[in-house]
Amino acid sequence: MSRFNWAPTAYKLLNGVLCIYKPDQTPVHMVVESLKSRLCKDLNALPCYQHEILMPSKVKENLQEKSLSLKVDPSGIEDWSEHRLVLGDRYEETDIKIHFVDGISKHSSGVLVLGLGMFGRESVEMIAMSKYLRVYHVKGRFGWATHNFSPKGRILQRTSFKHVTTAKLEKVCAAAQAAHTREMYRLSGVNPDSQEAYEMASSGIIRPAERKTSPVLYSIKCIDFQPPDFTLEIHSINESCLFLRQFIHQLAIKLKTTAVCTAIRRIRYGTFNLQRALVRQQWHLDNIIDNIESNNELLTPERLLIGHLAERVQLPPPSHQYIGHSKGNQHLIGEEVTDDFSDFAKSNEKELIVDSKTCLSKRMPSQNRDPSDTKSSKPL
Amino acid sequence: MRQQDSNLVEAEEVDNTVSVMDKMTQNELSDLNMKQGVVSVHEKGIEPHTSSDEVQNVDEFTLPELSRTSMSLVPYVKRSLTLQKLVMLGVDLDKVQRVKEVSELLLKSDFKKDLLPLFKFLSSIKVPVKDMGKIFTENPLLFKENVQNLELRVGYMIHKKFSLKDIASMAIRCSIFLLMDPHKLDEKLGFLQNTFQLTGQEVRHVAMTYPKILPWRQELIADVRFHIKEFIGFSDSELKEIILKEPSLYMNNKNAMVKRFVYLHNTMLLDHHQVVQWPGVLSSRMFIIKTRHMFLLSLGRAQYDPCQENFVSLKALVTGTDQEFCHNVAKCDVNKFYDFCKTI
Repeated sequence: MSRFNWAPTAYKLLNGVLCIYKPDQTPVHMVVESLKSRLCKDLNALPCYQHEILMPSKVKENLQEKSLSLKVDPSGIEDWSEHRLVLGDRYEETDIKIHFVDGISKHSSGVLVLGLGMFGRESVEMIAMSKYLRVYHVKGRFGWATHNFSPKGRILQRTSFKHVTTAKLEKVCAAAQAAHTREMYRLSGVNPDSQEAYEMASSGIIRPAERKTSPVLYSIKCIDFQPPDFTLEIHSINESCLFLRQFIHQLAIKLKTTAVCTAIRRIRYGTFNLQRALVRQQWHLDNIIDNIESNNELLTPERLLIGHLAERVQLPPPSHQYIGHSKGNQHLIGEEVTDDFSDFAKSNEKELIVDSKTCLSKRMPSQNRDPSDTKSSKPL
Repeated sequence: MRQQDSNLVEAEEVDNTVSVMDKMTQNELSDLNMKQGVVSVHEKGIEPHTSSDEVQNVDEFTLPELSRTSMSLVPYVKRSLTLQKLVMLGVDLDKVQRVKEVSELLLKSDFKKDLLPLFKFLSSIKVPVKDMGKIFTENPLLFKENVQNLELRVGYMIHKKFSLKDIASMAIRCSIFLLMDPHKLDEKLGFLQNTFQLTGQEVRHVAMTYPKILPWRQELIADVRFHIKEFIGFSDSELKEIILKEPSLYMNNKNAMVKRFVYLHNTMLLDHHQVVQWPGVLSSRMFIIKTRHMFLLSLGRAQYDPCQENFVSLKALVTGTDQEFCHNVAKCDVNKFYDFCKTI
């Protein structure tokens, strides 16, 4: 039973940002359709018309009259043309507008951010502009390669993978991460040898200046290795699911073997984490409205305007840090998840920044070197 | 608010209107011109024509009203006692008017003269009054039928030893069978009997448990039967057991059923016999089977062998809400289940 007793009240509250857990084997547009139909069903189950809330007892009595006498007293209802049986259900699927940001492919699962209504649409646009960091768990399996990098594709090659060890896998991951760190500076539009780049790196994550440019991977870690299966945790911006699958393929080629990507799971989208996400069984009116309300606290200006930092060459003073927002949340996986702004400064990405700093300091003496060698070494 | 997207309803036949138009006085004609394009019917300008009777009691519409087109039945409900009575009986006019020609029929008909016999007939086969609206909503073409035809069809069912109570409950769940010709009905019952080798009592049982199978096309039922026999490998006796337990399975998507069976057989390691114990599992949603099975596996409770302890029946696995499932089968908090779903 719903806690609402008047459908328009509930409908007005469907205005904001919703965070769901997209199941795999379902494309995003089907998820949106399913949400719409469920919301309509729940809204129409509530009283929608005046006669349903004014005197529901009288109307019920009339309908359940035992004999077929038609001397039913219609005094309970003055205007029959406003009855639900005449006008039909009040809400249709077209009444609910849902927009999504940075969807994931059909075979991936994970956190998906949706905007409902006008406010939701505006917020989703802001979220898109702020270029939040996304965290993925990407599963791969060594042994064969397929034409579309998925295990169900046409098999192109079979290889042995006996020589692959955890150490070798981690080494390749680290190399890829280093290559992407250089890419990160290129896309942010800042000279990596400059003071600005140093300050950016010390204040947090360096975001690409534009949305939908080439992908940037901030951290690649192997969190599980049980041959032939392995799991990587990837932090990235501007990626696509196809890119991640391709990445697994190229990683395996560096290891002198082949691999397919068996699963992609997004465990975090900026400030939206798994705790907030609603699984498919929870997609009901009350849960959705609660979720929208709880997500409103994430839509503060300083959180939404974070992405513009990269576009500004003039950085805020070094004391200006967003560590105050961090909330240590215990994850399902067990690792510490903090807010988008602070995690690079605080948690597991700390070594990345240390990395970039040492990288910068090493470069300092050889500033006059020809920059072409950095450009030629592209990331994986 | 929603839009009325029903088909255009002509209130009266055009030639009919023209013939009456001749008789109209000049006054009425000018009134008609004045009223053209106005959406609401309940304008005061119309009332002089109906002033002799009380507005609420008049079932006939004035000419200006009838000569105007309307997108739906809504403007007529306030004035028409017929429509009001239908609403009182629970007929969903919004759904009914989407069927071609039904709204014209309802506007022209008089409740006492044309529609009451139908309701009386339904009452005579012991359909409760509260379910009559549902029957007409799902099957508006019933308004066009005359009572003799319906009596003939019900007579055929009684001849085939269906009790009146059975017929009433079948009519509530699948009112379309009231429109079926007795010859076709006979053919369908015979088809079911021959294909699945059923006895007379079993045919009645199948028709009773799932009457929607009666209007379903024979070829489709035969196709599904062939498909699941060849691809899943059920024997003839198992196919018969399935139609006795879950006739709706033969109206399902055959490929989806094979997919579910492949998962049950290859991943959950169930054999054909266990699936036939509760065949409804083949029509339940794949993600429900998958998530619940994987959750039970993670808890160490995925035990589908009835001879051992902690047995989980397929019915208990698939039916019920998540709360019921977690309370009765998984024996844990429902949030733990949802957290598990987020790791898949």
